[in-house]
Amino acid sequence: MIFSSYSFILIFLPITFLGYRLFNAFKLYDVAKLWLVFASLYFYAQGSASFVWIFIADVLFNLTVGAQLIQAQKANAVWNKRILLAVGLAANILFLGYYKYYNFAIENINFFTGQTFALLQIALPLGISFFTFQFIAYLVDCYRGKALETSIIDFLLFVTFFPQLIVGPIVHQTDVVPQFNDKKQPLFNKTNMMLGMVLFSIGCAKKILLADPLTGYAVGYFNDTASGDTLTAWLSSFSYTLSYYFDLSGYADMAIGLGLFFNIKLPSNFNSPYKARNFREYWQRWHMTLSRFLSDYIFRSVYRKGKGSFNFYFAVMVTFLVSGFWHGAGWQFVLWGILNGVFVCMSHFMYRNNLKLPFIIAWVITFAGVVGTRILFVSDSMKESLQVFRTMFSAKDFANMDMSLVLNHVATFAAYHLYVIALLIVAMLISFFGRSTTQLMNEYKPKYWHAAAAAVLFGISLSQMTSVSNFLYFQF
Amino acid sequence: MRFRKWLYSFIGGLAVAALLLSGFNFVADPFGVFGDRFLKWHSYNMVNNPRVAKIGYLDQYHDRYNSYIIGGSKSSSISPELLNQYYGDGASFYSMLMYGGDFYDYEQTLRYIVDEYKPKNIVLHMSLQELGHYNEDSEVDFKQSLHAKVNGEPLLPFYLKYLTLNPSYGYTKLEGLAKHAVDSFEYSQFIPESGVYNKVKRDAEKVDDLEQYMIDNAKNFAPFGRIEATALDKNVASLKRMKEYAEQHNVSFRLITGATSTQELKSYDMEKLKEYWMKIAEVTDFWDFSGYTSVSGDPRYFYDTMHYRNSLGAMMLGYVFNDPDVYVPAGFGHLTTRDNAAAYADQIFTPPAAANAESVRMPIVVYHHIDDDPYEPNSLIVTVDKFKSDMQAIKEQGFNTLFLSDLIDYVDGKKELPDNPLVITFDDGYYSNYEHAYPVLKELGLKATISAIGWSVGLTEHRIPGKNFYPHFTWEQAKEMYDSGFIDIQNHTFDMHEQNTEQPDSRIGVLQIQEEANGAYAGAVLEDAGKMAELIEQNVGNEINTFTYPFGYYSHLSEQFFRDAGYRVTLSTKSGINQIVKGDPGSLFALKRINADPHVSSEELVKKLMAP
Repeated sequence: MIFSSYSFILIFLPITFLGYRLFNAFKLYDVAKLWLVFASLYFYAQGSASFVWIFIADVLFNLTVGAQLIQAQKANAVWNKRILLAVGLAANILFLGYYKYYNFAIENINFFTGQTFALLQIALPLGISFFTFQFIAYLVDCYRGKALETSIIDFLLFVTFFPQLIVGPIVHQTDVVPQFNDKKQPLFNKTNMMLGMVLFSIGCAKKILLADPLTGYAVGYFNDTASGDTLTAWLSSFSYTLSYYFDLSGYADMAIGLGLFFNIKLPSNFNSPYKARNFREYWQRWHMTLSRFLSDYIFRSVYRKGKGSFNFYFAVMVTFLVSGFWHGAGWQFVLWGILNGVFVCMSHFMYRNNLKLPFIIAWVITFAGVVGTRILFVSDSMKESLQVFRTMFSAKDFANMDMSLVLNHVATFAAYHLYVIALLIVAMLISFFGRSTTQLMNEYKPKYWHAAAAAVLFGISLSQMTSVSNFLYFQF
Repeated sequence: MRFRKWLYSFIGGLAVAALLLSGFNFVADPFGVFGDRFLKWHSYNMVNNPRVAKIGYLDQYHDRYNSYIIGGSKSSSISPELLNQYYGDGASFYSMLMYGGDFYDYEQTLRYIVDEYKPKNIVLHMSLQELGHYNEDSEVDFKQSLHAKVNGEPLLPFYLKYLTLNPSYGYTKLEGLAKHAVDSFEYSQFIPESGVYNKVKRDAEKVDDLEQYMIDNAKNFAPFGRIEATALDKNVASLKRMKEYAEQHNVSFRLITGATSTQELKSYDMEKLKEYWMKIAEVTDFWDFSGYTSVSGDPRYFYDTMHYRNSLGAMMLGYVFNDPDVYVPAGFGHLTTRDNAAAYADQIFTPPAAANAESVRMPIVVYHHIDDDPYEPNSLIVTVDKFKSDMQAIKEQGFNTLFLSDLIDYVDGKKELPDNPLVITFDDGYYSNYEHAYPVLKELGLKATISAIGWSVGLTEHRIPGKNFYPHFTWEQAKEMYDSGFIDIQNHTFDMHEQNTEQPDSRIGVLQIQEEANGAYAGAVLEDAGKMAELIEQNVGNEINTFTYPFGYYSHLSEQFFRDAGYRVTLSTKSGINQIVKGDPGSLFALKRINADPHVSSEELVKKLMAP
């Protein structure tokens, strides 16, 4: 079940919301929280039904280890603490490793040793990369004594809360648990409701009106890169770059909006990343909760202050290698991580040496880097991404064409892809010049026209949630 | 800030969204439900869903029509213009063709048309595939559903459904306008004014060379899968209701059953079809073009497994209305009635004996004139020595030479062929064949077939005085050769071996002249060939089974004429080796031949004949 679907919007959400309000109205606060936990597990089961029991076991395991860690921390039992953390981390990493990287490892072993170990039919459980990171952060926080001691219900709600369960934002226990126990939390908060409705509508529109059609177009090319022409490669690559942002940030907006319906403020995830003029800034604006996690738990475990610039750049590279690997099991993701690391190091180098490019040049180079790394990211393999780059910069389609023929060719292409091109232009204008929802949220003052405008976006999005059938005529 | 007022604003916004959406869907009108009053792009709407869009169109324009063809996608090959001519009396037909149509669709459409448009004539076209479905659930889909006016559903929810349609349909239509501006064929698959498919592209295809046609269209002729006769009785009952309804309202009613390809026929249970035919004939007489007919086995009459060509549709109407200008293949078309249905169904729903998997590789070599000192040497003239050397090489290679009648006997299962078979042919009937070839062949014990041109037999001068001319053998010489048992004489036209490029409207070989009616074309070709056949039979006395195309030019139609006239073999000049299939008479048509080029050594020629 995704947020932008009729079953979620018209059935799941109203029932969950009304149930939550009802229990709170009768002051059954813990029941209300449990209601949310059950609703969240139901939500999870809609996506990964076969995995829901393993997920629950995973939650309980981390709950136990975390509780033991907090006890050990209190008792100052250093070795107990270390062993517990080691066990907890190892379990989480192995768990993720099995589901996400087992087949990748086997493929590589087979490739390098010439063996033919069979691959397993492993379906990747929904959201496993996200909640595993939340568990790791939680255990490390427990170890570091930063975690809060919580009730079991609060812990369960923290990990299962459906708005953030599947694709983030990656939430720290300390972000939300204090909110669960706020005195005002069970009360109906109209400002939160209003902002929630605005954010959910905007998120819905971002995903349904912009991201989905753009992705739909781009996927067609990336499924068969060998047969696409140069213009298709360009349009698809840009479409994918923009649709990725609108898809993820739209989803994050919906998640944050949904959180607000339950008076939970989830952390922001995107802050106009395509306005960035270098990669350091880009990663401060893109998938911010992931960046925060990587910075807190990877970068800081490698980087030691005052140990010189090499140590710094090394830590950056390690962080992005992990990031690449986390994003997907495949060498193109590793390369993607390395490239991002190099770009970030370069911008740090320039920053440290006070080197500055004119704004527009810096921005163009950065955006080109974003598109290039996105191509790598969405390709099935390194080979395929090379194919895309080759096609993009090949002059083959324009061979033996004079200027008027080239223009004619481009105009024909534009006429045949008018819808995608129009969407792409709108998406680019919004992402280059529009205000981010993070800004909007931080300085939000409700106005009635916001409700009306949000409703228009929401209403049109609703109309585009039905599937569209293809033409059936015979090819005469 | 009051939350209640906020909520009202939100609801107000939703109402605005609904208005915007409805307005957009009304203006873009991608299915033509609202008559497409703004864009007036009816062909687009019909491509989207002909069932709905045609009603949207006809509700505005039905006063232009007074007669309707109702049927599935096959019925598109029944031309409304031709029907107008044949029906006369101011008839103006509109084709209601709907892809994947079934009898439920037909009946609902017929009732709506009779009630609302008050027509004079209805032609119901049955495709055969309706046998497998009747009012299926899939028809709630936007692309296949009927108009609510037609199937009697409440109108308000129907219009609301199209007002709140996913606007992506409209976006695609707007984008389609840009595509259409670049390529006017985009979304023009329907011709809104007549309701039929626009087949200009497929009809421009070259269909004459069967082998090439099947290479180009292999995927169009994929098997269709099994169709069970689940709707047999429902269809018959529906047919009965339609006929009665039309007649009650004084509307003429005619049932035509469409042509079917052999490939499509494999989808059905033949016994069920026979039962179907009996039951249909109880309801009405009908013009019957289905089943295994003289055209069903030839893919060139079809666009794909399911759809017969417009050209065949014209033949069907020519048959129905007995039009002398229209050539109709023998064995195609029948008026099926209660009295003859059983026998006829038995005939058309009995598959011809399956072609055997067994086949023979059959090289054929062709010579023309033999001359040591021609007026103008060319690739069709060999010297006497070269001819001798060729024949010796062929003999040494161990070829067993055959007459074409041997091939026919093999296909008919009457005779096996020897290993290493070869057919030697000569075209035109030159005296040199008698003078030089005949003695060599006789000496080496090789058989050959000479295709002679009628008018020039026995002449030593061209009928146009002064024109270069090689003498031709006489009937007596022909008879002498034939009687030797080594030579067969066959048909190379009486007088159609001409091509006058300076006169564009003259006939080239046996091809059709531009604008010539099929009926006249068939008459001319068969009259000429018949004359020659008669001459050979009179003068030589042998049986004519082969027609050799002048210049090797043939057409799909000419193939059919000769088949109709009883010819078993036709010879082309396309270079290559043939595969003759036991049980498949079609494998004897448009046979390829390898020219014995004077510049190709005898050794190489033998190699060519041996090549796989």
